[in-house]
Amino acid sequence: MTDSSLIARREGWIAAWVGENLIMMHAESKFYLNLTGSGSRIWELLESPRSVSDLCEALGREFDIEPDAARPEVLAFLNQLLLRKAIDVHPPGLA
Amino acid sequence: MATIPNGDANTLRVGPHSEYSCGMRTILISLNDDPQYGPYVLCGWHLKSAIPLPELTLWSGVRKSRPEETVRIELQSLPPNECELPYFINGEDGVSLHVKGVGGFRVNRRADRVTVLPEDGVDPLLLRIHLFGSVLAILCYRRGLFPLHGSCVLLDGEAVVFSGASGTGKSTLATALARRGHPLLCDDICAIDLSNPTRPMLRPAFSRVKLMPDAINCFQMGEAVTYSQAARGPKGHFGMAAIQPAGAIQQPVPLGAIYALSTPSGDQPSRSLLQSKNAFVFIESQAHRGWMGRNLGLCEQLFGHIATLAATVPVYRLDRPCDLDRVDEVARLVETAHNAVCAPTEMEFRQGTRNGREDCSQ
Repeated sequence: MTDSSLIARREGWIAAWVGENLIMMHAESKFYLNLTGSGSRIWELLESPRSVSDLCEALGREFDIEPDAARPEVLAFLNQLLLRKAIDVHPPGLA
Repeated sequence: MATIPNGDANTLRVGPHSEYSCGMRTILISLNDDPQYGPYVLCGWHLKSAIPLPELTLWSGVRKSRPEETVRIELQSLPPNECELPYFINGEDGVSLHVKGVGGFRVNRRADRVTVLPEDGVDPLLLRIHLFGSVLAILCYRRGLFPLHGSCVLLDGEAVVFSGASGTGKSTLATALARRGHPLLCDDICAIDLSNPTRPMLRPAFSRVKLMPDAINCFQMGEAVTYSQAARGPKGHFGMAAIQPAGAIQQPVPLGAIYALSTPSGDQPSRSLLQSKNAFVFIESQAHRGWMGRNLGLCEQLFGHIATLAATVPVYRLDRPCDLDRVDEVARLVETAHNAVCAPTEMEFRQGTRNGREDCSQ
C-alpha cells in the first residue's frame, strides 16, 4: 500500500452508529467490527474510493495535524481493515 | 369484550375420529378445517387458532382486524415417519421445524398461517411453549419485529425488559414486579416494533410466566399454575402461571429500559448503565433464536434492529443477591429507578422490610 493506492470499501458490510461507536457487520460471515474516533471517520470518508494521500490530507484537515504525521497511523489502520477483508486496495498489497 | 369460550387447555383437537387418553389429559381428535378458538390478540395480531390458547387475551373491542394483522393457527396430523429428527428448514413455501417429542410447525412465507403437527400424546402445554417460543420468534422476524429474549413489565407508562440467558431469573423478577401491581406484558419473548427508530415500542403478548418450581413455591402461587407433564432438568416440572387477569394491556407501549441479567451475585442490588458498545453486544446475544433470523436471510434487518435498540434504549447491568427471598428488594430498586408507584406487598408487611418508601403508595 502506497500513497497512490486506491482504497475502497469491500461489499457486504453494513454499519450503524451506536453512541460514539460505528459498529459494522459482514452480513455473510457475521463478523463484527467496532470503529471509534478517527477509525470511524476513515470509514465514512471511504464512502467513495480514495487514495491513501487523499485520506491523510482529509484527516489532517479535520484533526488539525500534518498529513505526513497522520500517514503511519492511517496505513496501520488500513492494514487492519484489509486483514479483516473490509476494504480492497488497488493495486493490491499491504504497506 | 368478546365472549367466545377460551377453550380447554388440556384438550387438543387434531384430526378425525379417535380419542387418546394421555395421563390426566384427554387429547380429542376431530377434523377442524376452520380455526375455532379465539380470536385472540398476540403482539397486536388478530389470531384465530385450532388449538385453545388459554394464555392469550381475547381480541376485544369493535374494531375489525385488518388483513395484514391476521394470523391463523391450523392443525394437521403428523405424516408417518416425520417425527424422528429435529430440523429447521427455510424453504420456498416458508419455514418448517420439528421439535423431537413435541411435533412439527410450519410458518408460511407471508407469516400469516401457522400449521401445527403434534406428535402423538404430546403435552399440550409443551406444544404451546414452543408455539410461544420458536414459532413466535419466526413470526416476529418475518413481520419485521425484533424478538428480544426476556420478560417485561409496565413501569410508569414504559415497558421495562429483563433479559439474559436461561436461568438468570428474568421471569422471577418480572413476576415479583407483577405481584407488586405492575402489569406483566410478556414472558420469554419481547416483540419490539422499531418501525419508528427513535421510539421503539413493545407489543404486549400475554400475562403468564413460565416458572420453575422453586420460584412457584417462593411466590406461593400453586393454584394458578398449569404444570408440564414431564420434568425438565433437575429442578422438576415447570409451570405456566397466571399472574393477573389477562387482557389489561393490548396496545404497544414505549420501551423504557432493558436490564441485562446474569447469574445473581453480590450482596446489595445495584444497577449500572452499559456503554453503548457493550449494550450492542448484549442485545445481539439475546436476540431470541437469532440464528433463525439469520437463517431466514434477515441479517441486515436483525443488525439494524440491534443497533437501533442499543442506540436508543438504556441497557443496565443489574447486580443482585442470589436469594429468592430477597427478590422484592431488587424489585424495589427497579421501581425506584423508574419512579413507579407501588403499594406495599403482603410479604413486606409481614417481614417489615419496607423502609423509607412511604411516598410510593400515594
